[in-house]
Amino acid sequence: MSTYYFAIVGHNDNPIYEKEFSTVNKEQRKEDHRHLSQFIAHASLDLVDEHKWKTANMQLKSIDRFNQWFVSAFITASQIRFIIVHDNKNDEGIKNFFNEMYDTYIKHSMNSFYKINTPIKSPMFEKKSEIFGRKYLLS
Amino acid sequence: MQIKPIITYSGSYPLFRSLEAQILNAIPLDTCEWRRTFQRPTKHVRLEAQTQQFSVEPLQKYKQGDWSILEHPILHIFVTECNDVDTYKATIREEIDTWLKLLASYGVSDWMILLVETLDMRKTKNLLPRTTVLDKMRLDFGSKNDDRCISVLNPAKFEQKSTESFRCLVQRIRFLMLTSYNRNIAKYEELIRSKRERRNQDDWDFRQYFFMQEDLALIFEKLELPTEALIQYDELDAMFSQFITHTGFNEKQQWLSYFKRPLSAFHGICLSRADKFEFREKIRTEGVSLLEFRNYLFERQAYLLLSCNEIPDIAKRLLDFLFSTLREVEYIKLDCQEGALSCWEFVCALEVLQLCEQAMEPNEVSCFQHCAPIWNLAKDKLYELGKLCGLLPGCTPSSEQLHIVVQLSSGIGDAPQQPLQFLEAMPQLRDRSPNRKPKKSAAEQLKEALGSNMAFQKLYLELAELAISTYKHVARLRSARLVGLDLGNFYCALNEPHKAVGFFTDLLRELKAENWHTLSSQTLLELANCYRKMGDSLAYTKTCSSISCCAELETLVRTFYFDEFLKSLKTLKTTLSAQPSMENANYCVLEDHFRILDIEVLNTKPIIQDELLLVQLKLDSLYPRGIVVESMKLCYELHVAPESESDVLQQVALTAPKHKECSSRLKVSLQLFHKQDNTLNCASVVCDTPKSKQPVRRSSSTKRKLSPSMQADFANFVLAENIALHPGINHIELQAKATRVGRWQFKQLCLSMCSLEFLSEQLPSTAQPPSFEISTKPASATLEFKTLIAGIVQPFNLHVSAGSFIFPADAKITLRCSKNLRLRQALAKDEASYNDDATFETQLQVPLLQLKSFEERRLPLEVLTDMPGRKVAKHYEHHITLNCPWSRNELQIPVEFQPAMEATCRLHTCGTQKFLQVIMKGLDGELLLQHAKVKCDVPGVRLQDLNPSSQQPIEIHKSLTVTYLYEIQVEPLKTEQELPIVKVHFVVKYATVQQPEVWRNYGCAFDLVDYSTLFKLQAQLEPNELCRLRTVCNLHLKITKVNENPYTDLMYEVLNDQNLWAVCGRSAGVVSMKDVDCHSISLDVMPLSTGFLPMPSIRLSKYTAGGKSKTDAHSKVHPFPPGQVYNSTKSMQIHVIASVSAEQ
Repeated sequence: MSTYYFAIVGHNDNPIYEKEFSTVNKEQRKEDHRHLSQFIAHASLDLVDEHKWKTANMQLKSIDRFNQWFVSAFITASQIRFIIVHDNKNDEGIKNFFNEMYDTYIKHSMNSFYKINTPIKSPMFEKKSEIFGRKYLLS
Repeated sequence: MQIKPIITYSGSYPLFRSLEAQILNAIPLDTCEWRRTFQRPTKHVRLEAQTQQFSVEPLQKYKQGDWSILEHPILHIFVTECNDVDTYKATIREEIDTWLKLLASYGVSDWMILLVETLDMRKTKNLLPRTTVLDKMRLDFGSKNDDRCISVLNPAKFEQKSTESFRCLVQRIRFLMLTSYNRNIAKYEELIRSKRERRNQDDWDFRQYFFMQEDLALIFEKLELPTEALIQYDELDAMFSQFITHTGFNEKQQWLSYFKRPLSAFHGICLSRADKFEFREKIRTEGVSLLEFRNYLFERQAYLLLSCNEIPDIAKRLLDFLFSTLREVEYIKLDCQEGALSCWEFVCALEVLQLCEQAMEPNEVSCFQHCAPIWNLAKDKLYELGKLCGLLPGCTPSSEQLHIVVQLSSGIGDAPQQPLQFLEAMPQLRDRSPNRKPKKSAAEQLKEALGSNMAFQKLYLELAELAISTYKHVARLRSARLVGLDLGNFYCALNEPHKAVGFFTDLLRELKAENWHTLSSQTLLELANCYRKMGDSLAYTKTCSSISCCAELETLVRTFYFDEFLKSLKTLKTTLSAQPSMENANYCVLEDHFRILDIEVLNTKPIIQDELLLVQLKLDSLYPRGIVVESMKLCYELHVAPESESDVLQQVALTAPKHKECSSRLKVSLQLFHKQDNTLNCASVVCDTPKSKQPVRRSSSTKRKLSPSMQADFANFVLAENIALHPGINHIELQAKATRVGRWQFKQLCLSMCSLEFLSEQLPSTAQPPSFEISTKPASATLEFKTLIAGIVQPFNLHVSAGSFIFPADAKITLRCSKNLRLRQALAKDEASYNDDATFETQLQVPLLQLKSFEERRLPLEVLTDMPGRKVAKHYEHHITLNCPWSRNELQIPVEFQPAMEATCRLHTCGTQKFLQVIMKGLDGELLLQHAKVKCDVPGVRLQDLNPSSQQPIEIHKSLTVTYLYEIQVEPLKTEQELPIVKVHFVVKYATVQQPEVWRNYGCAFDLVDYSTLFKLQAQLEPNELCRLRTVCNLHLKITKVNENPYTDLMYEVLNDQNLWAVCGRSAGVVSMKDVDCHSISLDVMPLSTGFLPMPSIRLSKYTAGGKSKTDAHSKVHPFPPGQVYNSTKSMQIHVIASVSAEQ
């Protein structure tokens, strides 16, 4: 049983993409912690901002704990933040997931019709994140 | 438990025992340098030791690989006091040899031979012995390592002298011990490794392995290497969890069942235990639960971290420790009482927090960083327990729950009672204030909290506040607000919603500012609940309204709150006035409920004052159902134009990071680098990274207010009333009378519903037209015309645009013309006075009958200007001055006319006859000419008309010329000196083709000069019948005076083409005509080219000889004007044929 909440946060601290990956079925999860992962992701922004200046690495690894949840983060070159809230240690998988999503995000951001910092509403992006989530996070 | 390295002794036991105490006391007195293998850093170590009689047993174990470094003797000493070489040879050597062989047989090489000298040789015999026993020993055993044989003066006998040798001995022992450790640790590590590799075998037991590796850790700790000891524990930790989580709990790992005992007790960790190894013994002897084992491991790690002074690390490791342990408990499927693990977590958390609190300075952020989540954890665990035991606000524990409390309390256990000792042992720990009551242990606090609702609430609030303040202390405001959410909920449950509101609004503000819509809508729900409890109907109404507009929430929830909103809105009417509400409390943020998509001014530009201003608003209503808005006002304010363009640019640059989201393109710019000689060195493209951002932005929380506090000035607004808004996009027309003139800009939209006012924060820049203008339109009058031609009637229009001016019924525009320009109102062709030029006036009053505001009127006029005779075609510049009823100032409009035609004249000479040619050239328009006449009033001068007398008018048009010719006959008596200029007046009648019956006069005056011939010039070439190339010919010049004149000295010049003629000799000369009428000159010329050559041209000039007066030192030549000299052979040609000689 593991849950992952993935969010891309733009320059104005606004979420531009959110997705949950979980092996638990939906109803059960909703009861469990309504939006807690989101709250945790939001709360960790302070720490992400603090960490991102301490390292030249894009991968910030697991930077925060909130009870049983871990927060892992990734910073793109243009300071877009990828955040995963998860309750299972899976450093390697998350690292790969971040790298793949970075790739996908870059391609998406190069679309002339996409405006940086606006919510991503692309079925292609959705599909890709679904695939990578299944491949690296839930397997 | 005592951990001291073991030294064994053999040989003379009593002797050693007499020295034992002294040696053991001396060892820890000083440090010894430890040179470690594998390039590990050297270290100064303070050693301790204990002694044992030599026995074979541990060596046996050592050989079998079943030894522990903790129990293994580290040094073997053979003691003897034999001073006699012979005795040594007889017995002692044998003994030592056997001892060494025994050691070697077990692979031990850590030995030392100690020779105690009880006899002072030098005192008894003054002779030095040839060889001493020591020398012998060294010879026998210490061939390679003579430092292992050492002698010492018996300190019991030589108190004074022995000090030095004794010091050497102790130093040697220390050194040998450390050397031995180097070897043994390496060997022991090897042993551990091999043991670890067998971990998947059936008979492998983790506990055995654990003690084995822990022994190494203990030795490291003893040797003052806490970090290396910690590594051992970390390895054990990792290995243990790996066993449980990865290999799983299967039959193969028999030893796992050992940890599978039920968790009847769930004591937390205790970092102030008196006997640190209490549990080590327990693990060895009676066995412990998984929790106890984990506790022990963590306590050991914490202790080692503490001795490295790495207290933050303890806090950092805690959460990992807790949750990996919980996971293990889950894996092994241990039975435990509900809430037991929460108790355990809580106590562990508090224990670590207490340690941190004691140890850290308040400004050491590193520790608090890790403490903050622990506080939060403790708070959450306490909440869980409270929920379990019925201690939450509003609950009373049932008997069942009371039973749980009792069970849990017993399981929590008591904290060991020697905390002070521990604190004293740790110099880095200090008590903040000595007078403060010693804090209750974590277990006690928990028990107390579980005891009563009050105590529980108190502890919960305390923990929550601590979590918040710690998060704030480490500048993690968002996390602090998240904890605030829990605290707010707790206050709500406590029925103190007014305390909760602050936490919710704080969080809401930030979430909204950062567009976390899902979360903000969740928070809104909490807030609505809060306000309902508080009975703040205004705030409740506002919140309900906001909730019903949250697209993220389910429709059911939204409609529920929408109904609540409407219901509450009705009650507001009655309650609002009574409520002592804050100022502007009835303001809502418009953007939360509606979205302004577009604002469009429907009027055509520019908008005239007092017109009805129409504005179309495209508004997206977020309400789930339709709603009626009582009034909708969109206010506008005077537009403040940016001062200059550079300012605008600067502003853009400054605000660029803010509006970054507007432009998704990166700011890429070109950079060119030049070399010194200005040639290009390299070109590159640079992109500035958005570095302008602060590393940690803390302004975000104030970015947005929850309710707008500022209302714009609603002095000017467009309005719509009682409008039903559907969910989704609505088009609303707002209107108002445009009263004030100026450039305006929309500022704020305000929607009113009952007493609520929805104010927009900022109009979206995309929806906002830059500005609109309300203006008064001035009346204007202009003249419209194409190219105007002088001399002909020309049409043109007076265009009057009334603007917003109100005209009297009999308004007039007066037009005044400049000289020679006349006007009339346009007449139709068939009107009687159409052809009457007298109808043109220099001043004209044009009536503007019944001209209304905004009317445009075009008044056709006609204009006529005289065409004064001028030789050169030039524009005639005139102007018309307008005097309009709306203005006191006169308006002067320049008007330009092109002449219709032009006249030029030329004078021609034929011998003594003179002719005047007048050339009429058409420039514009088609004209008819007739009755051309010249007049000359000068007596004696007569002009004879040579033109055919034709009645038919001549038609000219553009670029067509008509020539008239007259002969000038001057009476001979009248000399030119009397009349240098003869004025001739040329007059012709003209009419336009369109209006052939109206003939106007065109006159032109010409001045005639040089109208009589003075000299005649004749040239003749001899032989003239045949002229050969390059043959000299004779040129005869003949100058004849035709008319009497004052010019006596004449100069002639042959102006020949250098390629055609060559003049032999002088080409110019001066002749005097004083007394003669005729002069002949002969010149030699030679043709240079064949063919018909023009006769060399001759120029005759007036000559004034110089030198007669002082002012006129030089001779002067003045040319004659044309007409005074007539060259009768001017255009004659000479036929030149090729020379004969050239043919030869």
